[in-house]
Amino acid sequence: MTIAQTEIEIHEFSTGIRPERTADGGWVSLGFTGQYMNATINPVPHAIQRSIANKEFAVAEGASSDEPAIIGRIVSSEDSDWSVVAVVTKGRDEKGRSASLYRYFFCEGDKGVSNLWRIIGWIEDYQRSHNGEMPVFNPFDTRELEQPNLYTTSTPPQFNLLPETEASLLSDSAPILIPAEAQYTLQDINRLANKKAIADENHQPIAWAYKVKALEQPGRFQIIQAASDKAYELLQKVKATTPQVVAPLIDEQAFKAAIKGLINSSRVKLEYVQAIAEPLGNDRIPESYWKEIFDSQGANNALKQAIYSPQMVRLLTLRAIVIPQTLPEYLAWLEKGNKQNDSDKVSDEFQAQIRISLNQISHLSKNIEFNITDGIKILLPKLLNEQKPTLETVSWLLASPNGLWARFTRQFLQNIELDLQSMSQFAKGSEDFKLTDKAWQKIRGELEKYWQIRSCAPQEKYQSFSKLFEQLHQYKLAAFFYHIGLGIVPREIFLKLCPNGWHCLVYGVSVEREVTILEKLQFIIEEVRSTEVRVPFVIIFALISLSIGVGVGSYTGSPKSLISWVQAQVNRPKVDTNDSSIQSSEQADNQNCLPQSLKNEAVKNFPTTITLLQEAVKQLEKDPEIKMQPGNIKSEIKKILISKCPNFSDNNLDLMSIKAQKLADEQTKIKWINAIYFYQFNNNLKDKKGYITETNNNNFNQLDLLKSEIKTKLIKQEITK
Amino acid sequence: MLNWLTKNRTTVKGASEALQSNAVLRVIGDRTSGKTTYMASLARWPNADPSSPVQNVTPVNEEGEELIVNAQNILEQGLQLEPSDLKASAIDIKDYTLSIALKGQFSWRNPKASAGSGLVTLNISCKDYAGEFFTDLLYKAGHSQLQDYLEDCLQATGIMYLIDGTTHRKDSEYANGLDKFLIALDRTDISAEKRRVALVMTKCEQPELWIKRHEARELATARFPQVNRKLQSWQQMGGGSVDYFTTSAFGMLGSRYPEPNSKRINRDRNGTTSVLKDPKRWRPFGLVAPIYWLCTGDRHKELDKD
Repeated sequence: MTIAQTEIEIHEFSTGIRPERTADGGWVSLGFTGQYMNATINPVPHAIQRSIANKEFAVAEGASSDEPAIIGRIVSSEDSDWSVVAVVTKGRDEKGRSASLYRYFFCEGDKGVSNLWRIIGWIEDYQRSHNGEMPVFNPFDTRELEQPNLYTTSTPPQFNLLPETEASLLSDSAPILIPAEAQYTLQDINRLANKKAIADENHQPIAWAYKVKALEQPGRFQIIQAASDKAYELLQKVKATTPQVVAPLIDEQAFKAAIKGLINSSRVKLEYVQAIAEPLGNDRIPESYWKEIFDSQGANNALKQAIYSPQMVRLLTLRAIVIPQTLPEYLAWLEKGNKQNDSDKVSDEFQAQIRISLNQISHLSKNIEFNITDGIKILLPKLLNEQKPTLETVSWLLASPNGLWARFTRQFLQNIELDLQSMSQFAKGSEDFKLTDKAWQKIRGELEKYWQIRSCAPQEKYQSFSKLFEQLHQYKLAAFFYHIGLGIVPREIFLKLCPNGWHCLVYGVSVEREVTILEKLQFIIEEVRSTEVRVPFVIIFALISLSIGVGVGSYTGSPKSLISWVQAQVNRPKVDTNDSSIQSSEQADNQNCLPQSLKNEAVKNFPTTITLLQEAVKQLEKDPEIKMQPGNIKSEIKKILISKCPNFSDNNLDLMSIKAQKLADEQTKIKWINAIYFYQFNNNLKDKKGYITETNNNNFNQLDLLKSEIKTKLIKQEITK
Repeated sequence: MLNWLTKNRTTVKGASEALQSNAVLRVIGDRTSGKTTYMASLARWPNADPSSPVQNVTPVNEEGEELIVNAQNILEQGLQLEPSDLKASAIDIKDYTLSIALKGQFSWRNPKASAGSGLVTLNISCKDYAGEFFTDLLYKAGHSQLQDYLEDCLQATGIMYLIDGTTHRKDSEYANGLDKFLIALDRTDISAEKRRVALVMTKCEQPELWIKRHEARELATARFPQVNRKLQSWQQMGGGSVDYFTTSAFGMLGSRYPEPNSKRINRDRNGTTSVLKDPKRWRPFGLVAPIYWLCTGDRHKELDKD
């Protein structure tokens, strides 16, 4: 075989040290410089730098010797394949410590072309002209930039291997270990590696090591020849414990560096988030690979040994981002350790910073977004069957104001809603759903019957969903899952969806409102009022039931069945419930103004309410459209508030004189609370609680409504004057 | 002064109800001052003394595990560890994460926390910078690599400044390097964090140091007066707090007629180079005391007795 005679450029560079000549003509190192020396090129191609950083040429510490070890491999970059050979020898520093020193040779080739045999050819030439010596690390062998070694060959390499020996060697799994005494040349080793790489078809680039004691990454070679019998034994042990050759799927060291960079600092650097987000898009990477990487950084030990240092909290938060399957485990771990420390705060802060950085990594943020949503998808079904993580922890994760998962919660819940909306079609055979995982399919299977049969037994486990959605202020979802989990929807949730009525259609399923004890009594009274027979019986029964807390008191059924129950007691013909009965019950509330159950909360929020009202007055006073004395505004606000409240007749109450901090007396407070409740009630506002807070958007609207009502009245008054 | 120390305390209780103290540390010092050997001996924690307050030392990440491998394959074979490479970028420096469990002790400062706890865990993540950082890089003002290292150093809550106790003739060099370091760190740190700096004298198995091992401050004042002055003035200016420790990665052989458990290879102005003599009786001393102080701000009386 003849080969076209071409000249190739072989560049080189060496480990950077500060050398000093010794009396015997040798040299010692006075320390590392952190830069390469004797280089014919600057900078060293990035792909080669990354391969070195990933320890693909590294011999293990203490494993270099005076006899050179030679490592050859193909390093791929986007446009070309670099053929790189490292010659590793042991050097010493002035204190007598030994260090592994590297001299690298490389040349560029087209994709899929290995020039390793040419570099070996050049090395063989070098040996011939240097009394058999290898071109080893020599700090005083100064090289000039842009003056690479030139090599021309037309002779194909010679091989000593017999075909049968070769076939027998190649039948072994990679890395194929060759004992020290085998008399193979570098060309033989290279040829074997080449053949093995082709045979294995696992995208592992050609890589071999010649006469080595121990390697940092033995799994990334096809052929390794040991330097000694002891080294061969060691390599065999290592091979037995390390998994089969895996093609490097990512720049592992860059990824690990990004993890370190993120977990060790309270400030998140964008470049690290980018380095994490980038490989997440590669779906060839199995979960086990990610797990291994996080375990190498201590994830497994942090879980096992309950280490809650900020680094470990950040590490496990990051793991939950990269491996969504670990989100439940992460939360359970966090929960366990959070009794006495601030792990949730560390996580919160870390999440907030990652969240901010997402906006700045443009297209890559999608990879993280996908994983986060995936995590929520995996997490929620766990709430149905497992105790850990608890509802509180899940709610914290999904509702934390600056949380990373919280950012995608709404979007995810929309998917649940869309799927629930599609359920009526599902019952008819449609399968167009957003959440297609097994766990969600199972959930749908369990829910299906509620669209098919009007009254199904509740499934208690879904109460965790209802409570979670209630905590997330997703009242429609909460109402739906109360219906599934409890068979009935608590009054306050129900009223947020349907201000009137006892039934409401939620995602096509009719849900029922819970009846409060007060309402039950009202029903009884109402019924009694219109009953001519057995009146004394019912009244006595109701009173007894109330006082001993049984019967009516323990009744928690639906209004319809309650009525039937009452009917049974009075032995009257069937009376249907309708909106008028609700009206009457609500009006009954009106007579007493604010229901007792809401009073405590209203009293608690009274200072905020008064401050907000006072603010409103101040704002109105400044309004250029109103040309009225400030005193009139105050009296107007009061008039509006008390106009329909039957118990509010004290005209001496002055809004501005109430000091929110030093509260007015109880009686005054209650009067104001009742007045506000009445205003809310008569205007049929969504929140009828007897107080106004700053945080609730609905209440902001209430305040605005009140202000605009006053404004309109005042302007009208102006005009009539 | 006391106020920030208490504020800076990062003690929390973990699930096992063990007190957990955390610290991010950087180990700096001259070449061959024994930084990596200190770390490897700590991770290996050989022949633990049952009466020692240290229950165990566990590596948390792979780099911590590597330390143990190197301690076994190199130190225990009577060899020296390789010099640590000066990495081009600080992010590539090995970050040793270890968890050190101590048997509980009563603390007057925090009686409530110490009363019920059987264990105290020190969680540290620690990078040892190549000696070249201290001897060369610090002198390259404005160099991007130095800047990168200093920024990495800002993450640390504590600095361990290791000095080969036998290199007293290099006191002024050390003081100079330390001065450069403290000034550069201060100018890099926008938030003006207060840090703890532990001056740790190594190789205290050497007889002249061993006899003074319980008087670390006096030893530092006598042998490294200029370094000591620099640290004291830094402390007085409010840079943080300073304390002094003596350690030996190799320890001693015998108790009544003690001798260093080390074979001397070389000794000159640049210090002492030695290797482990008897790996079977290898018991280092003083390794955890500086870490306890860097984590908690308190000295541990029992650890100091080591």
